Amino acid sequence: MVPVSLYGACFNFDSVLSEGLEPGHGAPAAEVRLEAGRPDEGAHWFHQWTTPSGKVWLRAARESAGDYVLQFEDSRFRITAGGEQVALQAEPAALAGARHDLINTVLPMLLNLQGREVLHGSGVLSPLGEAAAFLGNGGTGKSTAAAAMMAAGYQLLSDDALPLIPQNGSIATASGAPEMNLWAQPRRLLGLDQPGLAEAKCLVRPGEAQHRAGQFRLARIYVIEPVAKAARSSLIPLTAAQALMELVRAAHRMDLRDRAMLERQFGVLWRVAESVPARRLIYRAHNPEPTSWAELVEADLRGSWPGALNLQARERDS
Amino acid sequence: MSQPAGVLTLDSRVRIEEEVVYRDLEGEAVVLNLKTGRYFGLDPVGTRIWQLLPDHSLREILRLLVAEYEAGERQIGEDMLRLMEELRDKQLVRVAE
Repeated sequence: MVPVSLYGACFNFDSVLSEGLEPGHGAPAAEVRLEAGRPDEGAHWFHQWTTPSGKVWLRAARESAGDYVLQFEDSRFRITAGGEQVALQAEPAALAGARHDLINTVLPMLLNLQGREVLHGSGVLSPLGEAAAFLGNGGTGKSTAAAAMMAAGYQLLSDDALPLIPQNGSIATASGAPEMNLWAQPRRLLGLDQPGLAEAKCLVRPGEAQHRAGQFRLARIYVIEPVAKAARSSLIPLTAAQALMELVRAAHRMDLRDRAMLERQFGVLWRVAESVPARRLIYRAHNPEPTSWAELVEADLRGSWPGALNLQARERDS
Repeated sequence: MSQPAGVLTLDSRVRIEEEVVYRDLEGEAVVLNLKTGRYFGLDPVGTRIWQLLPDHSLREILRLLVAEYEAGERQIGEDMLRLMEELRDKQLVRVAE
């Protein structure tokens, strides 16, 4: 077992799964090991997640003994009721994909089970040490936004999942795996493309200077949205209530039937919506121009985006 | 579980579902049904209605809103009933028998 650091927590990983991850310290939140296949034990399938095209990509069950089962197309994870143990079943050929699902979906859900909240989104760190999160529906450009920021001198915190860590009066987030699932164009932008890689999304590892491990204050949340008739990329401030709804939509949950969890999560997300300014980042659907997103975000984080003046006045007056 | 049913009128008694939590953020609110995970955002007027719902009938709320906002009674009444129907469809409120 190898201790690794992800999302502000330490996990003990089977050594096969730990390659390239930051070393972890402290008490592990969970242990992840490989397991030979075994039959369900009274599994009750209670939820499934589908892609926009309607294809089921994940199903969740609870076994009679209390363990959760997360079933992906080529892999299966069994998680103890308290989230302390994860057993992964996958054929050797499917292990890379299963590792990706483990890091980006299973661990965020497991942290939710343990009382910590994680958003589905990408995150970057500004040269001044402030984190910005990008949320949005699948395919809207969360990873592309992170890549555009990296091309402008920011560092990747996480490509697909961001924890929310309440601190004294503010919210922090923490780094995920130093990996990105990128289309060819952003790969080229970051110098991460290699001969033979497909035009479609591929998992790549940013250079050491392009990724940053650690925990940082979350300064902004951007909700990315392509708009067919948008004249250009722009930022629109979100009210705290609008931000809360976006956060509810983006938050990982192990078991939607768990009312105590939903109430707790709603409370945490409410604190985030109140304390972290959020914007909608709109772009032309047929001409995204991610470079222009980076310019808008940079100006916003520096406080020089014109809309920021009104927002600051409102925040000061409230 | 209560099902959306019946016709909503100003004389209906509307109650917030037990499993619903609510947060008010700068005069706007978000309500979440813990049982279904469905949620809904309310504008400032919707938030005011939500805050009045536990202790007032729809007709009483209408009377208060007419005094507070510059809109006609008929318009406010129609908007309020439409909002109640949306909230009922999302299982955030129920119409008491």
